[in-house]
Amino acid sequence: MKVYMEQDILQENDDQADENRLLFGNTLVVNIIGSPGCGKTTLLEKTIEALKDEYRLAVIEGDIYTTKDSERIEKFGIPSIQINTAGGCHLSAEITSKAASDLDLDDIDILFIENVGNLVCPAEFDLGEDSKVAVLSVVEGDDKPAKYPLLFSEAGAVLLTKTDLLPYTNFDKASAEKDIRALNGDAPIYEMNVLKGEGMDKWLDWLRVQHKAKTIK
Amino acid sequence: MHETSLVRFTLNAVEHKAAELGIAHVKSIRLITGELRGALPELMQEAFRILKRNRPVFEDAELEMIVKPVVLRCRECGTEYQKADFHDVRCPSCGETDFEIISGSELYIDSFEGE
Repeated sequence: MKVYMEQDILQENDDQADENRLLFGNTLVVNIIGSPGCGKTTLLEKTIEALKDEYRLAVIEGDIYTTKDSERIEKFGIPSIQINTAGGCHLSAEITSKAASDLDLDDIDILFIENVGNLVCPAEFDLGEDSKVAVLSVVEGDDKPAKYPLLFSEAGAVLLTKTDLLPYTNFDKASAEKDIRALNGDAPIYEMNVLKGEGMDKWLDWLRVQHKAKTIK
Repeated sequence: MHETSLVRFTLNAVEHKAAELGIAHVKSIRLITGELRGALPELMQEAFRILKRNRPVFEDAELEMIVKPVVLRCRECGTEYQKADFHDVRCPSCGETDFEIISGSELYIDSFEGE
């Protein structure tokens, strides 16, 4: 017997992601995706520093094996849940739901999820977030948006980090931006030197607008 | 390596459907994936070989994957064109870069056969 299904392979994950959206309620959930070493955790540290008196924040840290990132977040005194994927290259809606159930979501305005460092796999999996944010450090090369189109087409914002290193690379900003624009007409592209705090204002304002939009909904 | 998750979701969904229909042995599963989704056929097959163990309904099952190329359609002049990458996405007819993706992002279970 032949059975036609025509069912999305990710249906199981997507169903769980829909449940997560109900669970998240009014909490703004931002799923941060980028390569290992692009500066995701540093971005979170600086963002938390800037916003912790303004919003009630929490972080879910995805990492393959260690708790190093979670330890960096804990020192700010905000809730931080570590997920170890034990080799898995991305978070799923199911594992996110388990982590989120350890948080008191009614008392959280913005929940950041730092995904496993990887430009391919995390882009495929809806966690129930409001926005995916793509982080691309300029040392990775300007060809990355064209090589990893799914992430850049789905991102709600694209952060170009480590821009202070631009003079030492052959990163062609115009070319990268053109490729991002071809894939994604809407996402703002922010240039940042996170360590020095340069370019943070626009990113923080973007988060404020997203949070406002979420609470009005 | 999200192939492992994709195959696991596939097996869960097909097993569920087969049980509903009283199918005890699945012989083949056909997946349609687009090049954009980065699901490598070799890794999908390897994940399939490993994950079907301990699942009697898939004992003799084979995985068939049909990979669709990326095809874009120009919103300006309607030309359909294939692209190997997203660096140069200009329409070959009119040079515009305003396109919609009409193929290449598929990711679904088409069908399975069993008895």
